[in-house]
Amino acid sequence: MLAGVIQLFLVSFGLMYFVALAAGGLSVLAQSRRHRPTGPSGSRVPGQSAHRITRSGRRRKGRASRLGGRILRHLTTADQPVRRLAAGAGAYHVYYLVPCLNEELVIGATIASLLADPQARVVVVDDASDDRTAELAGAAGPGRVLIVGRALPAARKGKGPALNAGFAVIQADVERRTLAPEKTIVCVMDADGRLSAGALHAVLPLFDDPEVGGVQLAVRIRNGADGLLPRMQDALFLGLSAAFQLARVHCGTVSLGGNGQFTRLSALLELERDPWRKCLTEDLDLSIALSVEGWQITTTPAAFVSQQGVTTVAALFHQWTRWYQGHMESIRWLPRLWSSRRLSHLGVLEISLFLMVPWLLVLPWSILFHYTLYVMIRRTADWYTVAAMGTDRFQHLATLALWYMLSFAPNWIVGYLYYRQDRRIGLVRGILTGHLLLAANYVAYAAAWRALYRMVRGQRSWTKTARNREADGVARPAAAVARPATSVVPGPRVTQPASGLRQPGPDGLPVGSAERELAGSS
Amino acid sequence: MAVAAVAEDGPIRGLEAWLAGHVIGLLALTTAGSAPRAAVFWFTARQHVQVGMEITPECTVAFLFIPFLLATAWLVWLRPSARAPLTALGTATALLVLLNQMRFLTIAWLVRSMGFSSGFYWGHTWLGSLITVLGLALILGIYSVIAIGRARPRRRAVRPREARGC
Repeated sequence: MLAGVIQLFLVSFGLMYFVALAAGGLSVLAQSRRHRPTGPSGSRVPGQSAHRITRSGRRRKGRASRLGGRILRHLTTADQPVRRLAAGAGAYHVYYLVPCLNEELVIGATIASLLADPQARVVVVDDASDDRTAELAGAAGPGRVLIVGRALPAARKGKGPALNAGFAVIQADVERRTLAPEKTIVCVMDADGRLSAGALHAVLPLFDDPEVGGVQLAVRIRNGADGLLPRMQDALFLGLSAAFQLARVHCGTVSLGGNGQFTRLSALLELERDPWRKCLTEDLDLSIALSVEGWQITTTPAAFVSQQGVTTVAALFHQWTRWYQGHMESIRWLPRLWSSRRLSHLGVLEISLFLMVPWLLVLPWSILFHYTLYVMIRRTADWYTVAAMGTDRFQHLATLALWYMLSFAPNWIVGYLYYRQDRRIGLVRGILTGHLLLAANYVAYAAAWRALYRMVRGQRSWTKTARNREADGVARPAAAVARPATSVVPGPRVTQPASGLRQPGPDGLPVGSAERELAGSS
Repeated sequence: MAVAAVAEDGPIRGLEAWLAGHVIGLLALTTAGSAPRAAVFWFTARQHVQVGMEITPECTVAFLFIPFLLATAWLVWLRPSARAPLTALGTATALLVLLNQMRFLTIAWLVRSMGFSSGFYWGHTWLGSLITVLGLALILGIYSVIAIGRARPRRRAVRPREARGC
């Protein structure tokens, strides 16, 4: 009976969470489509979509007399909301921050694509690469690219400290150019990341809201057509993560990721700490830190960042283990979340539920799902003797249909959301791809349990995903390779300062950046 | 309270049976009644045929109530004000009882219209499960929304002062 009650609650909790986020995501998509500007022929204008998605509280402000509007406004308001002043007119200045570890196959094309924006400045943090990453990065954009070289044994300690090293350089350059931190945007990109056309036009206006501290772009898998595994990852990133991120716009608690992560410099400085901490998911950690301080984090359906998907199950398993472990360790934020008076009520609830997903949903469900599956198979095997399955063949089939409907509802939802965001996929194909997530579930279950095991053992080493060259000169994904946190590769590091940026210190790092360990991108 | 709900679910089941007797009698437009001590409610399925149903421990809300109770205890301990979590608990409890009554009512309706065998299957196994899962998901959502509401000082409307001449 206890199993029955737990099972009922898990199914209901999962359904509530899925349906609420799916509905929220769909409402933002619908809002975006309604306000999408069209060209003279009625066609969509690329990069000029309705990127400003408002939060529920504001959108419903005019309807506050309605009970629903009042409740929503109350929920989306903090006890002590922070009111920040608008930064005033003027263009935004964007710094791209790209941490690298052995990225020679992709870095050149990535930098070239980022420098397509004539105002962009790129800071590449070379985390003691063994290959020609630094050389190729410098050659890709002479004059506007600064290479921050890091040497062993301080290097290769993780992505967070590498980003912080690059951040110190950006800070110094902003001071030298006397730029306003409120109008300066830091964008973290993976070495294989590519922004969609017009991404900046979609992102930067979101920062016109002085309360917005960060914007996260949806992630797409570039090699999604290469096989079932990349296709599955694309469905997960777009149909699940991106759609649910859109729902989080209502709470202002969109979760930052490691690629296509835009943050306002003044928000990062307000934290009064290194923005990216030495943890497995430094992006999630930063999101929560900003939320606790009352900053809004949002996203847009009008742009995305693409990256390579892994092509082997083993690599996927290693990657997800790190994500799950970082996610599960973030549970320590709960007390601070619940005591924050700058975060809205709905924001507290949303982030709390999000942090508890592995603990309340994935781990228990991995056991209970198989228990119910076993019961169903047993009952189906001798259904003529089990009254609970019904008394005739039609009722037996109806019972099986009910079980399928409840168990696979998330797959239908994800498949539909996948289709809604990219209609080229087609509804049937989208739904079928949604069912592929059943296989993804097993990778997730195994990764979550391994993450728990590693937490218990106190293991915190990480695995970096390697890349291969793509046929068109861009990169092709490769299997993840395990990298010990303490590996030492001898040899001098080359620091290549770019003109126009502040000269680094004599050791190849900016003066004043005392914390200079680690680096490496996910 | 959680321990009491597990150990002494009889009175709760009896109360539910008593309530079901009245709800079915009122809304299913048939003769209905209950035997609370046995946690049984009954209704007239067709002429001269009465159907009695026992509310078993698997069918009562007593056990569904426990997670809400534990969550509320945690929230009261964590939050500065107990008002919102307790309001949420009260609301969730009322809705849980309502949900279970809706399930009993559905069974009664379908048994009356389809006969016992088919009606019980569709009302209890099929629709009953669906009502419970979807209803519980809804109640969880409502509970969460109410529980996170925090007491805020009411803002008083500021009345503009009249300009006074010297």
